[in-house]
Amino acid sequence: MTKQILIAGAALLVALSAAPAQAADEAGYTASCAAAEEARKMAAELHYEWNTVAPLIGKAGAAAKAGDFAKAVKLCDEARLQSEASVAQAKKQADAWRAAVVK
Amino acid sequence: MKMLITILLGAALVAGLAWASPEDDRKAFIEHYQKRFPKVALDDYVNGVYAIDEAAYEQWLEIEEFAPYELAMAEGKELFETPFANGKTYADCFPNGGIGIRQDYPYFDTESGQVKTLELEINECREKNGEKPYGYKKGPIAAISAYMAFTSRGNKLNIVIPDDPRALAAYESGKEFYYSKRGQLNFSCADCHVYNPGMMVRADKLSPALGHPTHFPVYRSKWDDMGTLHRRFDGCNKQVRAKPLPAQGEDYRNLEYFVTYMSNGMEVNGPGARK
Ligand code: HEC
Repeated sequence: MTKQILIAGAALLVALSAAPAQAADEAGYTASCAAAEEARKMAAELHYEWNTVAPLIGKAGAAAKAGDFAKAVKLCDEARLQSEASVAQAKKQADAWRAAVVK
Repeated sequence: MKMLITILLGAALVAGLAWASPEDDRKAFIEHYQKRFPKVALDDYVNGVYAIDEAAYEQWLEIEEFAPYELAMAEGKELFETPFANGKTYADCFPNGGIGIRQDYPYFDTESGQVKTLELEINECREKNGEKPYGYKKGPIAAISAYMAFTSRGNKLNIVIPDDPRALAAYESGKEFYYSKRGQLNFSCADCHVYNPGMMVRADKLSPALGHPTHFPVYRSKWDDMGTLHRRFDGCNKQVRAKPLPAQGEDYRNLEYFVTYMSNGMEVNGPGARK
C-alpha cells in the first residue's frame, strides 16, 4: 500500500514537473523561431535570402508540431545563423563587388 | 595642403573607378575573354559554351538541325498572330509590328523610369488589351519571345543607355548584382561566367557571359522545355543556394540590362538549344 502511494506520488511529481518543462521548451522554441523569422526578413529585405533558410524553418515547425521542441530550437537557431550570415554577406558585398569588376 | 591634395586625388580615383562608363566596361569585358580564349573569334560567343568546347560543338550542331525549339516557335507565331478578344494583336503594341525588334531589348523607358524587357512588354500588351498576363519563366511567353527573337536573327544587339541618371543607375545596379557574391556558396555570376568559363560545375562546362543573352529564350534538354532568360537567372541563383528573386522584378530586369549591354553589337541568334 505504501509502495503504491509512493509510486503514485512519484508519477504525480513527474507529471507536475513535466508540465513546466514542456512549457519552457515551447517558450524556447517560440523565441528561437521568432528570432529566426526576424533575421530571415532582414535578409529578404536586402534581397539576399539564402534558399536554405525557409526549409529549415519549415522543418522546425514540423518538429514542434510533433512535440520535439529541442529539435525545433536547433533548426531555428541554424536558420537564424544562416540569415545573419547572409545579411553580413550583403553588407560586405555592397562595397566588395567593385573590386571584382573586370577592368 | 599636400595631404588635402592626396585625399582629393584619392577621392577622384575612387569615383573614377566606380563610374567607369558602360562603354569602358564593355571593352574591358571583351578584352578579358579575348585574352582568356585567344583562338575564339568574337562572333562565336553567341554560341555560348559551344564557342569554347569543340567536342560539344559538333553534337550541338546536330541538335540544332532538328531544333527542339521549332514547336514552341510555331506555337509562338500562332499566339503572336491570333487577335485578342478585342480584335487587337501584339503587332499593335510594338514598333515595326513586333517583327525584327529583339535586338533593342531591354531598353530604358524614360517615361516610366525603368528597364523594359521584351517579356515585360508582351504582358503589358496583353493587359492593355484586357487579357490575363502570362507567367514569366516558361510556357506561352517563352514561345512568343522565341518567335520574336527568330524574326530578329542576324540583327545586332543595340542596347542604349540614354543620357538620364536613372538609366545609368539601373545599369549600375545590374552590374552590382552581377559582381556580388550571393547564396550560401558565396558565388557571384562573375565568379562562374567571367572568371571561370571552361571550368566544370558538376556535369556542366561553364559558358562565358559574353554572348549570353543573344540566344534566349532557350530550349534546354534538362528542362525538356523552353525557358526565358529570367528562368535561367532563377536557376543560377538557386545553384549557389540563394533564394531567386521574382522574374521580371526590378533586380532581374536591371541585371538583364547590364548583361545585354555587355554583348552589344553581337548578333541575335535566338531561340537556342542547350544541354
Ligand atoms: C556556380 C556557378 C554559377 C554561377 C554563380 C552562375 N551560373 Fe550561370 N550557369 C552555370 C552553369 C553550370 C550553366 C550551364 C552551362 C553554361 O551554359 O554555362 C549556366 C548557364 C547560364 C546561362 C545560360 C547560358 C546559355 O548559353 O544558354 C546564363 C544566361 C547564366 N548562366 C547567367 C548567370 C547569371 C546572370 C548569374 C548570376 C545571377 C549566374 N549565371 C551565376 C553556373 C553558374
